[in-house]
Amino acid sequence: MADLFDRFESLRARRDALVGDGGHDPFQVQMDEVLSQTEAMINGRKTILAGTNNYLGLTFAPEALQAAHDALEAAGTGTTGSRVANGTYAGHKALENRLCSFFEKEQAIVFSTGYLANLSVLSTLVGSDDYILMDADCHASIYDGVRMGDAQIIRFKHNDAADLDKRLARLAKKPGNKLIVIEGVYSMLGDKAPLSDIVEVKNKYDDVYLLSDEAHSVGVLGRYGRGLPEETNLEDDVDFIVGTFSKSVGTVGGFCVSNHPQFDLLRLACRPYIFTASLPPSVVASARVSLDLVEKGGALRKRLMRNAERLHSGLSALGFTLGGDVSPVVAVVASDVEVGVAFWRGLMDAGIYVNLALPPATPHNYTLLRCSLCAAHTSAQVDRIVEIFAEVAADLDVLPPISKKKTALA
Amino acid sequence: MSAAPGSSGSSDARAAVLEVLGPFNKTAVTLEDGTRFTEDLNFDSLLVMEFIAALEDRLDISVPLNVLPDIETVGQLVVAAQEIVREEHG
Ligand SMILES: Cc1ncc(COP(=O)(O)O)c(C=O)c1O
Repeated sequence: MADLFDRFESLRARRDALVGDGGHDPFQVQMDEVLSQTEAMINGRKTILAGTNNYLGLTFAPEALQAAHDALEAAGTGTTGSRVANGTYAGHKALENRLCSFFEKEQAIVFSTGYLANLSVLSTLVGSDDYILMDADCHASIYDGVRMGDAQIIRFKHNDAADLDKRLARLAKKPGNKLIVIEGVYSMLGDKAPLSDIVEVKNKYDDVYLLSDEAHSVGVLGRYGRGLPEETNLEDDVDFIVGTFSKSVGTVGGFCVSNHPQFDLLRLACRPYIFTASLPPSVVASARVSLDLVEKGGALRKRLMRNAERLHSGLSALGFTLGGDVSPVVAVVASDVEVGVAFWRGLMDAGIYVNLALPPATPHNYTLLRCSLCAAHTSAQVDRIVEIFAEVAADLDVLPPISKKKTALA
Repeated sequence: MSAAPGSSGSSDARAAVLEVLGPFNKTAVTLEDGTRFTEDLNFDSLLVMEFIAALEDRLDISVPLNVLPDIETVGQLVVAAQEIVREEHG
């Protein structure tokens, strides 16, 4: 009789080929002790964390820690249920009100993760007579969300407003609403959406709405950290903003904000809102306080961008091929999976943790050594990262001539 | 005038599918209506996406992701592509 797990045979073979003879397993990194926002003990070695998406370094913000402690004492370790079936806590409502004031929007719903926020909204906002037009490089949670729903799913070429335009034009005579789905900053390469071009295309047609997932841009872009729409002064043109507390906000949770007057109805329609437990009080409290810190985090954003520029220019001067422009996500393109894994292991051995990103989760099927920076990284830490990249490259003999500066792909 | 060849029907859609499929066919299999993407051509999900994007460019159409699970063979894709060309350019 066939074993149930036989269907994972090719997955197993692929994993074994990658993980092979031991050494660090890219899929099972264990942080034995977290020392700070930027350092942890991994396999007995003090390691610089350069792959946490903890952009502003708020995971240890004293105000957030205090708020979490207080809420924990006051309201307990968990809500033990969903907001619809088991009740909303005052903290959930207060957090939603804070999201409204943060984004200057009228409506907000908090979800248990960003992943669930995308599942919720994308599976319910549009129905079988409607169309989703999504950027091809969107995150897995967006793909999963649209697949859970009934709308027709059309992908347009990454960051290509003209391609979106063509596809909308072909749908123009069809009834049904159209929902464009993009990300403010794309997670793998850190590149921004051409938001003004997309808004311009959107405004050419009727019944078209725009949703932007600002997971990697909240806290990072805009004077008050409201993401790409704020930075580009297009906040009124984005109908729905989805986001997460798991990156700049430094905890866990997801949300969607909007000015649509009927927005609240989603609470009764979204299964990933109704049928899962709500966030615990401590998380809710720290998210609320961290939003204050994000809002007035101009100095943190400056430090983050300074670190981004330092790492980007350091690595590109060494001759590495980088996946995008200067951003807090700095993705080094490896020539293939084997080199990527060996390189990643070399970095780990030397005490640098970055993300190893493999196809098919990457654009252009790149193998990426994806670094994400933190405002709390010191210049010395950033320099150390660059230095180790150079050393590992020399060990593996994979770098183009050191003096030859290669420009970004894409 | 449409850039797409769709209006004249199935032979154009078939020609386009075969033309675009050519470079993606890494097996020695002769392409026929019954040729299966997964079993005969060893397509994985990634290759499917790339191939569909190329076909969209070639025919100037959008192939909704929803239709892909029902398409197993070259012939089924030709029929689906033809239908979309008719809808979008007809
Ligand atoms: C673009 C994007 N959307 C959504 C998510 C999911 O967020 P969360 O970690 O809160 O589930 C992520 C990251 O994980 C992401 O990169």
